[in-house]
Amino acid sequence: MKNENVHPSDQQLLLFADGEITAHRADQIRAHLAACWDCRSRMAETESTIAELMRMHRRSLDPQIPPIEGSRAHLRARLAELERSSHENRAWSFWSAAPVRRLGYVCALALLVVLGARMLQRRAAESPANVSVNWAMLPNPRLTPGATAATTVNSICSMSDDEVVAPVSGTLQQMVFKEYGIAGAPTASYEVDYLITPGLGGSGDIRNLWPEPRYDALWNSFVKDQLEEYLHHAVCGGKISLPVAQHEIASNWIAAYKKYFHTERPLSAVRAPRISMISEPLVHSTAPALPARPALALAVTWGRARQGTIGESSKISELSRPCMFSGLRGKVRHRPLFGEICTWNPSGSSRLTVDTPSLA
Amino acid sequence: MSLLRASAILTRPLDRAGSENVPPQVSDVEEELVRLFDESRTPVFRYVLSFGLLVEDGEEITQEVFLALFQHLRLGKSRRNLRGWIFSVAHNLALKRRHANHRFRDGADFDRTVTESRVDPWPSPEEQVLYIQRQARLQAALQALPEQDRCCLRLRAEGLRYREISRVLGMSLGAVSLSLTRSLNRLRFADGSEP
Repeated sequence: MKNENVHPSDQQLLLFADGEITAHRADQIRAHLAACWDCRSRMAETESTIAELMRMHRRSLDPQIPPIEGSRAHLRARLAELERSSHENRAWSFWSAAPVRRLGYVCALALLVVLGARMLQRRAAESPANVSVNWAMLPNPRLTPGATAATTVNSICSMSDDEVVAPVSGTLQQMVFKEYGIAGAPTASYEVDYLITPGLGGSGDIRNLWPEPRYDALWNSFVKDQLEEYLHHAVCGGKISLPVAQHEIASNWIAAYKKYFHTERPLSAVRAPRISMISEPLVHSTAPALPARPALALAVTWGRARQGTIGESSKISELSRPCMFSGLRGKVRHRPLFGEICTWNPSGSSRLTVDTPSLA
Repeated sequence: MSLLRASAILTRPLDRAGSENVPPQVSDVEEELVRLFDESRTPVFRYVLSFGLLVEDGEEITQEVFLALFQHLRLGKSRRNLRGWIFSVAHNLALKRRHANHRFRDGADFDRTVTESRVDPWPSPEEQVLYIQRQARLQAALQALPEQDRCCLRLRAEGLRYREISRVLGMSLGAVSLSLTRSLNRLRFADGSEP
């Protein structure tokens, strides 16, 4: 047992400590350590340094790492998207198909071309403007896969309204437009929207933003706002877990809407009003009589919002976007549902009244 | 005594003997991927962050790593040394991102702010001072190491075995062993140079 009497080198000791040495040599070193204080001391110092290093490593980095749930949901959403695009690609893998199948593809393609041409003709005749915006009902998954910030359910549910509806800066909006190849598009037509809303832990990263049609599409930003509000409340009420909500809204928000609202079409039969209507009084069958003095009536939606009680000094331009008021009576917090109409009556005792039309 | 136990799943040579080239079912792969994600996401994230990258970059790179792993598994490619493969992709993406960002924190590895802001409550101020001094000494010694040696240490700290480290960094097993010994000796010296 000659080797047992030779002091192992530092490298040998580390290999032994890391289990990277043969069993025979490990036995020799173990026997030597049992007999040699000097080597045991070296070993202990090495172990102590490793322990300190690990502690430093973990403490410096671990607090920065966001919870895994959001990341996992994001990964699942991206996998689903990958799978979907892969299916689309497979559908077009013409040359890899058998000859008989190729013939079928040719026939199907010809049929599609004919039908597609007819559809395009008809659509162009009916509503040329719609063609340009329908693509954006769902974001491009490559550009907007969705992104979440490090957050917890508690922090989401204790967010102020300002945070829930955090506005997107003009510069960032233009970057998103540019990314989508519609630089210079009118901001009145698109809302640069969060795919995963901040109210569900979405971040302000450009990968979480896309230009969503405001009015022209059936599934527009106002409809998505309904889903966002529903999911936010469901998460805070413990009905849905945050990762699930993030996953569903990121992978296909229209499908999620259909699922949670049990409908194939948006619940609101009336599309949200155009901005140009905002400065005019809205007439609703159950709305209170408008005062003699011109009043402002605003279609309220949950989404980009103006907060706070409207004062007389509010300008039309400040109100020219969907709004959310913080109170019916004074400062009482109220988050109006989609479709509710707030009427500002500066001469009345109550400045704001809310009328809730049936969404059914 | 080893630092961290290697994950049996990640180091398993081949799950389905003889079926390496047969693409598995997508749903199976997805579930397996999520399982691997749950196991390895935090170490990978930590390793990426240790390059001095921002958390957003870390999140994105981690996602990219596991999406690449999904493609790798879906195509039925080799499952040998999967953890080495994962860290290898993460290592390359992190280097690329750091280069693109031009955001070097002059070799920032383990966050230097640790000694300034993140200390546990200690029984006495003296102990706290000693702790901070020790961390500062280690930090300085660590940052004086060559980058390859730091990478070796960080990968080992994440529980990778020598052969996995050798794959990630493209070094021989002997070179990994020498690098770790050299680094730990320097750290040990720095750690014990003052009472």
